[in-house]
Amino acid sequence: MEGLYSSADRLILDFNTISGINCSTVDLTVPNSAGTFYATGFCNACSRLQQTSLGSLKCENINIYSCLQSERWGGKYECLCPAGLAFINTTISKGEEEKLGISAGPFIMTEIGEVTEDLKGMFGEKFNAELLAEAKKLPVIECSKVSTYADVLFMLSSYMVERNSIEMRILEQLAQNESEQFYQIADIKNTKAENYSYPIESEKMLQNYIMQGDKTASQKVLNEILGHIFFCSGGNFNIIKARTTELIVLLSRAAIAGGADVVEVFGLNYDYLNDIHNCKTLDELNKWLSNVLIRFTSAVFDVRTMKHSDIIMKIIDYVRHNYMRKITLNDISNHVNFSVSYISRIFKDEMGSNMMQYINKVRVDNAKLLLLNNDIPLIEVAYLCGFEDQTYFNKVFKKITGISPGKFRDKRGQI
Amino acid sequence: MDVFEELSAYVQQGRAKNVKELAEKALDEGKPAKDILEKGLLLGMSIIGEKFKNNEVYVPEVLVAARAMNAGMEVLKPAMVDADIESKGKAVLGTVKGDLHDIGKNLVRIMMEGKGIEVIDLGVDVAPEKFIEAAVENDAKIIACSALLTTTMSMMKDVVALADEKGVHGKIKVMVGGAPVTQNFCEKIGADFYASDAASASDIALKICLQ
Repeated sequence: MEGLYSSADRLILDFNTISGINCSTVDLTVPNSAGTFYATGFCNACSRLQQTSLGSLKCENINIYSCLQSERWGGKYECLCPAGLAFINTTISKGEEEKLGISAGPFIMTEIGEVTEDLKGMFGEKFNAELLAEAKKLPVIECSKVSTYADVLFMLSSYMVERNSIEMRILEQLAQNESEQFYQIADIKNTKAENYSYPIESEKMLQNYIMQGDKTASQKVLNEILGHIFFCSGGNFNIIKARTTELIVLLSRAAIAGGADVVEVFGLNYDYLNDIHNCKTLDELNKWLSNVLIRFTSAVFDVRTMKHSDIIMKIIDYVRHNYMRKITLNDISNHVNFSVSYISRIFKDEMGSNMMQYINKVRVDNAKLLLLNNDIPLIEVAYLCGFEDQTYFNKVFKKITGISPGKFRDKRGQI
Repeated sequence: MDVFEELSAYVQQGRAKNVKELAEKALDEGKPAKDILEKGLLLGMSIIGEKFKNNEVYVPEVLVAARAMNAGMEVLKPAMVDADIESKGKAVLGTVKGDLHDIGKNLVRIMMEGKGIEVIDLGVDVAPEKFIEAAVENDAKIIACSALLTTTMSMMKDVVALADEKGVHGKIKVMVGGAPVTQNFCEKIGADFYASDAASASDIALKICLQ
């Protein structure tokens, strides 16, 4: 633990110097450890007043709790103490055994006048000049800068202990997932219950994004779908598991459709379907599903293995942003600054299809989504996806999917 | 800018002192407390919530806005309670263990008190044992628990289970609420009532008390 404490001391000194905020540490491996909280004059004065008028508010417990919360929310946690003063919390650790909570505060996020109001409200007649004097010594940090200070504290602490940044990013992604799912549920609740239906279109969108290997967009849609699943299942974990299993099958088919190796995907599938039984909580399930999604989208195409990955990526990106317009090979060549013949050759070599075929594939993928919306006439779908006339659209669509756009719409995409 | 818009703006800026003064002024001018709450304080808070969702503001801004809203609600409280209303019964209120989000809970408290229900507010992060103990001790008819996170809502199940185990469930009704909570979930865990918002929570609570 000594090594960790000396890292913490250095960190506290640095952070205190740049921010003016007091910092303290607490040992999180020992239950009920009091640490060095109450180190500030303000906390001392406040706790003396608490004992005479309110009974102890157990500020240490709140601080320990906040430090632990930081691990859940991507490494940092901002909160207000019972007296209304702000704290930023994080942790540093070494291995499994040693863990310290770091708490920066108290500081004022509003202005001193607001704080004294709060304190008067809290302590009533007992509020005294000593506490007021201590409060006036506290640093005032503008609200909009507090998040940045929290980031800095987190980054400093990560550097001190060589924190596993990939792990923290996963945690941050998980927190992000949870909040997106939460908003989805709130949205569903805001629409009238009788109008509620499961968003089958979102599943199609998810498949589409996976086919394109787009990790960010697929995670976003996945969160939406999970929100619906959590909502419909009423939190019943077994139902959630069953629905998730269905999703895995969907994801794997989309990965194969996007050009991933069949043997690899089926192998992953088998492993995942075995793994799901080990998930015991919603948190675990969420984490596990995020991993599955990343593996499947990566399987679609792994640019790292490509020789000309940057040019190919540029071309793909151009097509995805311009498919609704007419695209010529010259346009693409001008965009990437290589000759038409050169880019045609490397694209075919790396992607296995020529550029026009790829453009049409992107157009058809997007047309499939639009076709699920009955309000858009077929001819408009054709135009919106960059086809200049409907006959050509029909021809290309049928060639790629095996059925005509009209039939596709009638069958709600069930080819 | 009318007084409601001004209140909403102060809530968004987190200016508790201004919110308090303006809410008092609005009450003096005879504006209904319900309007001050809904068109002013809650509107401001929901705008901040929307901005937070879109990553335009971060946690600190939400914290100070919530604080300003609470300050405003304290002012409105006496006006929301009819002066000579007699106590209709008692309810124990809190957010479940692991959950520190209390904006919705505070609103429920004020609404319930407005209906003449005596509220024992256990605060945030409340363990199932504490809910049951407090309800038995105070002879409350209702345990109302709230959760904001999908990960903490399962705690409600433990509250119901413990009430069953102690043999007090039935005499004490369990009411659940919070963003991720649904009617469906309420039935699954064997809770008695689901409240979709603070107003319906207070309506249901009153009904239970009058039974």
